Amino acid sequence: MIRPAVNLPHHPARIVDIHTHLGPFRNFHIPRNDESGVVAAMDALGIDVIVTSAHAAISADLRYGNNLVADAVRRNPGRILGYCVANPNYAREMEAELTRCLALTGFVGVKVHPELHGDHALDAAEYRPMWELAQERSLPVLAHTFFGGDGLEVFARLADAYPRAQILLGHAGQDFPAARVVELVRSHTNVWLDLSGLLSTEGAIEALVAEAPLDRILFGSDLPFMSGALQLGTLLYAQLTPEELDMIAYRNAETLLGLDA
Amino acid sequence: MESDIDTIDCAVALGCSAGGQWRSNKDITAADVVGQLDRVGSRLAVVHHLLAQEYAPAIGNARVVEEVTNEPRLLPCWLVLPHHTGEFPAPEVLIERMRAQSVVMARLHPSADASAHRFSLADWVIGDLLDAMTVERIPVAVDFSLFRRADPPWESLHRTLLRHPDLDVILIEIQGRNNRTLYPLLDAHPRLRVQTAGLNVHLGIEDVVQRFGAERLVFGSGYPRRSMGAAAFHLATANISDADRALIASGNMSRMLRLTERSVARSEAG
Repeated sequence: MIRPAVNLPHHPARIVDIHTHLGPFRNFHIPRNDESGVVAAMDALGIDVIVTSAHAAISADLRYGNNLVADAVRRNPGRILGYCVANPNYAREMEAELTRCLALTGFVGVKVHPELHGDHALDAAEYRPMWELAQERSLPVLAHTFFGGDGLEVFARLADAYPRAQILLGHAGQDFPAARVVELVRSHTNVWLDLSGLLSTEGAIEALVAEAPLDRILFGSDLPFMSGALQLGTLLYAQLTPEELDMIAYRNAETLLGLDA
Repeated sequence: MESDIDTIDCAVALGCSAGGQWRSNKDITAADVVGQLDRVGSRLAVVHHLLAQEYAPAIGNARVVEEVTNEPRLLPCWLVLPHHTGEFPAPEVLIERMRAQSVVMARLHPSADASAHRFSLADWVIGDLLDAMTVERIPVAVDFSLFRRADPPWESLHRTLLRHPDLDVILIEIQGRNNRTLYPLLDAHPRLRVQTAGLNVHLGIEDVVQRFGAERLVFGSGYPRRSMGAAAFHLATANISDADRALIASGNMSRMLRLTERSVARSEAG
């Protein structure tokens, strides 16, 4: 990977982005939102590996969207990894779709987006097959958390009920009280924090690192939903030690995904 | 930022924000900003005071002038209000005061949101003020204090720009979901520009440059609310020509602020 020619305080040896997407989104224009545009951004920013899910699977067509990811994963081995979306609006298909996708090389976890899935509760029956599979296989499950949705007590109950499932709190749960988020992560070793969105605020990452377990903080950009450059740039220029930055930029993600073996 | 690119940051603030959770609420001094500029490789910043934004414009404006007096790398910017309530002087008096204090830019925070200053952009409210800014060639930055998925009052903004075609306007913090209306607005108003880090769009710099040209973007970080380093990284990694990058980094802003003229005037006076 060629690193961008910028004068950074410290540049991690690798960058792993655990929260990205593919494809257009109905609500707004996203330039170059397809696989080539996403890879172009990875190359420009020096991102080695992304884990991605398709907007189509989150919103309108579960199988079509998961297939878009499968194609991208196949064409970019080792650089693009996939989340299989578990969309409760397709409850009858969900289990088979999870089994199908997770049998494919490069699918490493599950993405859920309660807000765009229509606010089905994450601990409702529709999601149960997904949680059972996550428990059985120790899968990462990345859950969106912006704008309400399930409260932290739901995530706590799920983390207790499925202790081998690795729950990634999307956007670091930034709409919840910060102290409660930290408390949840401290008290549950299978809860992780995805930084996407939180990195839009200067100083937030430093505040988080001061309180939360460092080994469960993960870099995520949410690109192409937003600018990956602004998210990654905030992390790279944060007032962190090189060791802290390395853990967040790639070491923790590699541990979670088994890429460090 | 690559060290050979001259950079002017058009959107920086001093002071202590009331902030919110996950934020440090540190009191940002002129020395802090200069330290940040050095860290990311920027030369100058246009700065306003958070006291003007979050409390009272007149009080914060006085504070910013006071705090940057001995710091030539920080160029003061005032947040301005319409004059009808008596909180601000008539436009011609305001312009005189801005000139006397070497204030290089004005900012408007017109949104009705409780975090902003709540006034209309209608010509019968702000027209005289914008006329005065146009005559004096003072650029005006407009921050609608958008929250994540919000959009600005487009029609009102369009009418204002139509009435003031020679005014240089910079949209601050336009965020990531507004291209479908922003693009025709950029088409319609050649002197409208967008702050780079406020455009939170995947490959957004590249897209705007390709469609409208690099003249329509100005480098601005939004520090201390946003990361100054992120803004530098955003521009440095954009897949555009070096000539376009230089225009965005400082060329456009330098022209709008007439920095060469100011520099000559200063050296002649000195």
